[in-house]
Amino acid sequence: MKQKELKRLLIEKANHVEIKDFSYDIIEKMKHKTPIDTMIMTQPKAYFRMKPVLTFSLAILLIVMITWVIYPYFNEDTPTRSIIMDVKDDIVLSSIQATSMIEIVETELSVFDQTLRFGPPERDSKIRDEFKDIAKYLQTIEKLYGSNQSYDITDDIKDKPGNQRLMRFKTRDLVDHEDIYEFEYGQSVDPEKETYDIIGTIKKNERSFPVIISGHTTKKGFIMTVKRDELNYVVMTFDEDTLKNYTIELFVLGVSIQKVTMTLAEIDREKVATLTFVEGSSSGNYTFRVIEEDRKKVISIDYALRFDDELETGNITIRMLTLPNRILYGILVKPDGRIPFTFTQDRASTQQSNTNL
Amino acid sequence: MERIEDIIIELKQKDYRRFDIFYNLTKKQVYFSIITIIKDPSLTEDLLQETYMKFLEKIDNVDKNKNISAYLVSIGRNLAINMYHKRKKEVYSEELLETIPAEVEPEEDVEILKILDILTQDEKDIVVMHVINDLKFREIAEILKKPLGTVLWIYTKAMKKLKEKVGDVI
Repeated sequence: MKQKELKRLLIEKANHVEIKDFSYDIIEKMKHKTPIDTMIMTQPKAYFRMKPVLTFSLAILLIVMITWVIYPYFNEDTPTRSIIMDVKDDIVLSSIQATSMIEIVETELSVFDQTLRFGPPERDSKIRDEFKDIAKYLQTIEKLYGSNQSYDITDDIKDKPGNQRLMRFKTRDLVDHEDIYEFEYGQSVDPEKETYDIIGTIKKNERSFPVIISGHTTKKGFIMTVKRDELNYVVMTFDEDTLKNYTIELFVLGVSIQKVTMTLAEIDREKVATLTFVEGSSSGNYTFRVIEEDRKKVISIDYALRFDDELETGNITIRMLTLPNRILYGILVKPDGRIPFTFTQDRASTQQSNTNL
Repeated sequence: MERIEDIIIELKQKDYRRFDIFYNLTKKQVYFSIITIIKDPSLTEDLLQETYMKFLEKIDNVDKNKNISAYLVSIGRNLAINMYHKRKKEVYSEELLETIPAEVEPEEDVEILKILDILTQDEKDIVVMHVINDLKFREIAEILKKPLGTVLWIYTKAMKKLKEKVGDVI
């Protein structure tokens, strides 16, 4: 059954339900509603009073406890704890995304014109164009699914007098290539405003990226800016409610050219990442999973794309194609209700893997 | 075709002459937003009326340029969720056990409810809001306080499920 037919069926069945006309009853009830019905009655709250001596003792105890908890934040000479420990995984993911995005935007990625397509050309072209944007996020997706759960994160004091810390973490992509990141940073905390600031540098292999992070000491969110230079940078905003939410905004020559939101969830013990294009030329929504096929990892993406007033859904499968000097993405697009088509695209990194493929 | 915005202006002035038109234009959306949570048609009718009463009480704060249906759906949902939690708590009282009506199975001829029962609550909410109530995904995301991407993903999953299983139900 096609989606249109299903929608028609649901609307038809919904229209069969008889919903009584209560309009008269509602108005009658409103007319008879007197002010007293809407008065909110409150009873005086009962309160508990402690004996003065007990109150004084508890107050002293509370002051001692507060001092003990916040003292490290006042003492800036010896930072004993990284302020970003609670969000370290999110800092890692943000670092991966921001640095890979800068690298990809710098490199011209070609979309080979090896497309076999038979469907309406406009829709297929739009999907291919969107894929150029999706490619900016694939390295993160690969590393999210390919890496060790903990990313082997270490975070130590590098240099006490200089107030510097060094965070190291490792990632693996889906062709088992390892990258090592080093994030050297200094942190400062404003206990009154309950905020913190971090200035540092992320080193990925031989390349360095200046980084600024700001956040609240009482909340899990932060804003991270990773720069190529003053005019070209990526801003990552992270917050968490029931899901982890990342907003990724790319600035080229000082202008925001793309904004996406990425959410991470665990559903039925499976990691699911969803990407939604918010601003920029692309507009789709993509849900990523990694599955195994013939002992190789394959990225499976369920997508929803708007074409005028219609929503098209379908699936994109990405396989790694290993050639002598490069690795390409082999992409198969299966739109719901339309003929599938394929194309290939350069992968961000063309380094060879060191394990079986 | 009556314009809801014009009727809202009249309702704000406590002129209820065209309230029945407003009610009939919007009742389907409100009804389905409640029954997918409560499942009891009789209780749904009570909450339906309460939704409109709450709406009329707060009419002065309503912006006629905003999506009124989305606002009504929000009120209806919140009332339904509150009732659902209240009934769950009441189960612990032995005396009340006998007074709470048993879970009512959808009537034989209410096929839409049988179809929707294929879905999880989240999926049901989103499909009802988008397909039956004709709300945009962004509006749904705001009502459910979920990211837009999640709403779209759940919707896609739900429609796939319905395509596979709707034949078993009807």
